[in-house]
Amino acid sequence: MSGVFRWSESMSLRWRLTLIIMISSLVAMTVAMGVFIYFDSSYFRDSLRKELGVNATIASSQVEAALLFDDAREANKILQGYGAAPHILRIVIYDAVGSVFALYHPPHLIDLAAPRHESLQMGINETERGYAYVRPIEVEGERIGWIYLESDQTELKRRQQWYIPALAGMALIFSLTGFLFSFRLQEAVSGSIGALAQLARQVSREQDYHLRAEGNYSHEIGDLYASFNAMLSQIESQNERLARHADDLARTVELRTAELKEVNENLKRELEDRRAAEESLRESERKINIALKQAVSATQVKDKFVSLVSHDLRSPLAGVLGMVEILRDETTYRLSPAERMTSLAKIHGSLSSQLELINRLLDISRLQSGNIEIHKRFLEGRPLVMSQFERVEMFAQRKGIHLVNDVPADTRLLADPILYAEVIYNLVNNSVKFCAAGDTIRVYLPDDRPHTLAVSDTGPGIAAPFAPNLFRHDIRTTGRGSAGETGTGLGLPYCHDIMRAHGGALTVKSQEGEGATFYVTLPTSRMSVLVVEDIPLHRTLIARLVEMIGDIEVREAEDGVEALERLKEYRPDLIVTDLLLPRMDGYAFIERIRSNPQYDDIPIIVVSGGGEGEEAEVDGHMRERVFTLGANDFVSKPLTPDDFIPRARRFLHPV
Amino acid sequence: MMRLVALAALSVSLLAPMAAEEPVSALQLKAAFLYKFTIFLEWPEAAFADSKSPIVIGVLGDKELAAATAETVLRREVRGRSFQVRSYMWEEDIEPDVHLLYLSPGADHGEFIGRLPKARAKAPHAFLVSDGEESVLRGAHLAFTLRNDRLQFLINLEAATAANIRISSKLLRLATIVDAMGERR
Repeated sequence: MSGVFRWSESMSLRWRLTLIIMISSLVAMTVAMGVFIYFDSSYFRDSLRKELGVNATIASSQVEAALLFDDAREANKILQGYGAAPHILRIVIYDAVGSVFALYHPPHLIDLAAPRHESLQMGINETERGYAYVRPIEVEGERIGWIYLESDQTELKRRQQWYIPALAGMALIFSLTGFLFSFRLQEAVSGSIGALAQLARQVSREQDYHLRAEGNYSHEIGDLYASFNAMLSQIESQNERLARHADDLARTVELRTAELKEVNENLKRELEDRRAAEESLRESERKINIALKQAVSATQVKDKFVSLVSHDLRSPLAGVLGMVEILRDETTYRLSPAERMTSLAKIHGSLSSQLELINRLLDISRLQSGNIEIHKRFLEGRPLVMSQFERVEMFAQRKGIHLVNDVPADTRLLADPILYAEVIYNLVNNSVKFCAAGDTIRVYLPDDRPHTLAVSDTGPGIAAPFAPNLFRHDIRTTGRGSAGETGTGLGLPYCHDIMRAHGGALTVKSQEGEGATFYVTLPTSRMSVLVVEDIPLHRTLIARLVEMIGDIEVREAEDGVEALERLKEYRPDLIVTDLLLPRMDGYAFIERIRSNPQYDDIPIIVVSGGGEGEEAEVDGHMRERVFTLGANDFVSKPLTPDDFIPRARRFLHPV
Repeated sequence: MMRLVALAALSVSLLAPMAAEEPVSALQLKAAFLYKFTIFLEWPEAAFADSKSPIVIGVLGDKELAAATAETVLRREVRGRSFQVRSYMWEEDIEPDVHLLYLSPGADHGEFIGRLPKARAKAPHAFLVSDGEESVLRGAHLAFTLRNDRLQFLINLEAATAANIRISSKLLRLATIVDAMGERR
């Protein structure tokens, strides 16, 4: 039994309960069956003893006289009378010394001899075919013999033999029924305990103490559930208390840490501030020193320049003054009308060169003081050179100089249109001045220098000592032209300044007697367009269209907020924006751009709407509103290259 | 009964058999029969003075049988009654309280016939036993006969009934019943 329970320890509660119920019912059933069999067989023996006893008594009394008078024949006759009695198998009468006196058995059982009296026991004897009853025959207190009466109980015996298989069969049926019942019944117990066990596992696995055992049970299971739930509640409330405590602790620590951090931060910031202050102090000091030096050197340059220029300014004035005095004093100098005209022409020439000088001075001054800003546009190189040639054409023709424009038709230059043209003009003009008849002035793109326009001539070249100082304001390098032309000497420095203002350069390559080549180099920077559009496909389309215009950098933003961020990083040459944008729409974005003096001159093209009828009306309203806000153009969707490119090019590429 | 005595060793399981030391003689067998008859006979109440009165067996004209019978019934009882055995020489001596009377036929059968009425008169309740078929026909209730060397008996049921003595059917089964006319049943 304990073995079974040890073995069952590895089983689930459900199976153990089933096993216990089944074992109990099997044991109870076996006991009941045993008791039944015991009582059944003892009752059977009792009734058999009674039945056989009665039969034996009657038979004995019938044969006693025959036995007493030794009449075996009559005794046998009497026994024959019992042959009709059911189940009688044998009747044997023994005499007083145990010899067989009379015998009866059914006629068909001829093999049945009388058992030897030595083997008999008084009372019930079990025999091969049934039971036999043995009792003495007594008359008046004297034993005169024995009677042996055997009853055929084959059927009964067979029935008894069936008890074992019947018991086994019933045990099987009971077991099955018991199993089914117990399987159902134990669920009432194991189901609830199983659910509790599962919950306990879940709680321990998930550490979730909010879980509760649910179920309406009474008695022990109910108590178990209630206790388990109470335990969970306790753990939960303890956990909460711990957590609250931990939270408090964490908050306190956090608070202290934050305070410490703040103190640290403050200290650090103070330190940094101090360091920065010292740094900026040093920086300003340095700047001041540099500025001082620059100022000193600039002053020196200016002084030289002024002394140079003042001579140029005074000399013509002195000449003019002398001429005017001669013309005024008619009495002293009697001038012929021809002489008068010559003098006036001289005065005109002097004043003209004076005016030129002053203009140039003003230009230089403006350029240096930053009053002139560079506004880059895409320029077509070939027409630009052509128009500069036109300015000196007559002059050149007169001197017999060839002008050759070798700039390709598709050349695009990103430069300030006015100032850049001025540089080209100056260089060409300079060459015309120094070249003689038969010389050629050629403008072209040199293969070995990118972004560069070369102005080359076959003139006298530049004397080596002059070359390094050609672009200096404070050293006069000019000389008289091939036809005796004079110059201010300020042209090349001015051009040099313009190209530096572009971020480019002006250099010269020359050898005396072998002509000179000036290289006008522009920086590599490209024009830039900012496209503000929230739909990626539209953004890409606009970018493609812009890139068809030329080598233009395109940056993108999804809405006004992002576009403003981009503007902090760089300055685009054109903004193309949609109106319907997330976060900050096109209207607000245009308003912001136009209200900021830093950006208010960046051209804006609005790309939006599009449609007919009512939508066209809406389109019209939008158009009106964006122009009021300060947009430069409005392009309706859908965009087409034919429509968009010329409009955009206007701002990138003025005609 | 001879075999009974002759056999010796008895089984342990068959308890207390009838003891017998020596072969049973014809006399002893007859004495035993006389005793055994009383077991199957029933007398009227008037035959006994009281419930304790003994059964009286009278033997007329055979002292040896009387002695053998006395020996047989010694310390025996039937239905709570002990026995008295009386030996008579003359029929005039027969006492009225005799319950079973054996009449020896003697050498002369005629003498016996003559004694029978007297004996019946002397002992009115007596069950009359004698030898030979003739005696039954003449008024004896039971007569011994020897057939095939076996001691058997004839019973005159009519006469016994007339004497108000009831004979058990068990005994009757063993006997040959004859009536006054000599017919057998």
